[in-house]
Amino acid sequence: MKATHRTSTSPHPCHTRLAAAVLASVALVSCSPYPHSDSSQMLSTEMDSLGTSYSAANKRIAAEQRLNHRLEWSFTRPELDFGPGCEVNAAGSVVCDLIQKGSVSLAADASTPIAAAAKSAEDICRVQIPGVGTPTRNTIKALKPLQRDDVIVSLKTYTAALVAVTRAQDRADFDTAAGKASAAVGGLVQSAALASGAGAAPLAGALAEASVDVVLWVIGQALDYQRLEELRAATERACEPVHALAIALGFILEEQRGNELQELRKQLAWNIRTVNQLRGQGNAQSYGAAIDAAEASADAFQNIRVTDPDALANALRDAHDKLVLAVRNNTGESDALIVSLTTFAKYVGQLEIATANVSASAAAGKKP
Amino acid sequence: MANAPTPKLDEIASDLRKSRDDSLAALQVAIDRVEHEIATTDQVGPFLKRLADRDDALVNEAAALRAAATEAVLALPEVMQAATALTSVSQRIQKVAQRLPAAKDVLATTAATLSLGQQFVDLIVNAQKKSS
Repeated sequence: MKATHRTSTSPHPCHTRLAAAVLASVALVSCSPYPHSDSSQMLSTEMDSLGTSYSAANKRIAAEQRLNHRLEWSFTRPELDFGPGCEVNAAGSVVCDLIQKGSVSLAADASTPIAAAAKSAEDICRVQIPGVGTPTRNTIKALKPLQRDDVIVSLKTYTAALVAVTRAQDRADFDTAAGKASAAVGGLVQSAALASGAGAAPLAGALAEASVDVVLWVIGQALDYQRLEELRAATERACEPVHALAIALGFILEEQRGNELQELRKQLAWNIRTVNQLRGQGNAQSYGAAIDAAEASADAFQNIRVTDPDALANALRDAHDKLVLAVRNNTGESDALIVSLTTFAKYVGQLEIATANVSASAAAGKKP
Repeated sequence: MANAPTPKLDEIASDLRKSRDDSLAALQVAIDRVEHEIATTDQVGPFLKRLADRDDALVNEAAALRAAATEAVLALPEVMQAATALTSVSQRIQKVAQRLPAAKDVLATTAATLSLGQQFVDLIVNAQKKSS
């Protein structure tokens, strides 16, 4: 199979589909446009639907409970308090909400730990990059703010470069895309070296570029084969840096999460206080508005509390590992490659959103 | 009579890490308690202002502890030599934190927590200074 693919000079019919799929992945479209998705893809889609349905029902129940509380409290004006899910270190499934002071709570459930994502045990990376090690809390703390931003930017650039390689329609497109991929891998190496505490790594970046070029122009003949080899070279070289950057992202997001939870809980305390002050003197409208504000704070706290930065970072690493293997073992079957690249792009998008959300909340300060 | 076995370096490092994490958890209990008091107290004026100030001080102390007790710092020989003192402070801060949920005088009890948190940070900073 592999030999046939190497000698073929005709354009592979799957590449147009591949390009479209990857474009769709960047926009984070969850459903696959491909009629020939394999069974694992179908299972994944069905699980997603089930999860969405369960999640929607939970949201409806929570909204109904909120409305009932608001109606009841407007008449009874009880003294309100933090619910058991509003502790910064709470790890259970109880959501952060307001409760009547002294009421029996679901605190017992708050001790149920949220399942952590299992870390990938096997190291599939074949290319060792000088200067790229394992980041630690100290090496990441030493990063300047712009260098922290570069971690996510380099991953985004790398993903976009892989997409460009798959989209290339002719030699000129491919030349540009190959240049972008080479530079993007250099950027990844640079960020990973900084996150590992090795400082700037210009040599590693230059090596990555030269190596990709050699693979590309000496061996490659047909565009399809070159495309695959370009993806292979880029993903193999990016393997170790992506592992390092996933660790760095886990630390960065966890630190941001802790800081934000602290601020949001403080907000919630003052908003609950406002409700309690108004219960004896405020009119129905101002009292209701104060409850709404406190519940909005509880929601903001809950939204951050349920995030699991480590799981997201591990998922990114695993998605890239699968992409590396899909490209490494590719024998002309592009579906597995499409799924892997789509999944990886999805996690890069989620990490970008997670980083942006936390940054926006931090910039908004204490405003509810 | 044989001497007690000397703890290995990795055991000391592990104990130090635990002391740091337990101290941070105790500070968080104090922060939660103060914020609970802010949310539910009927009192206003100077008392409320002191609660708000105490909340800020505890949050800042927790951040200072996190910044001071990094893995690299805990691995310094001078910091390891202070392990006994650090463990002792950590145990005291945990005892105070256990009293916090039922404590009637929140300001006094959290003052003790804050003070012990400061002691923990000072011990680390001073040990670190000796190494440089």
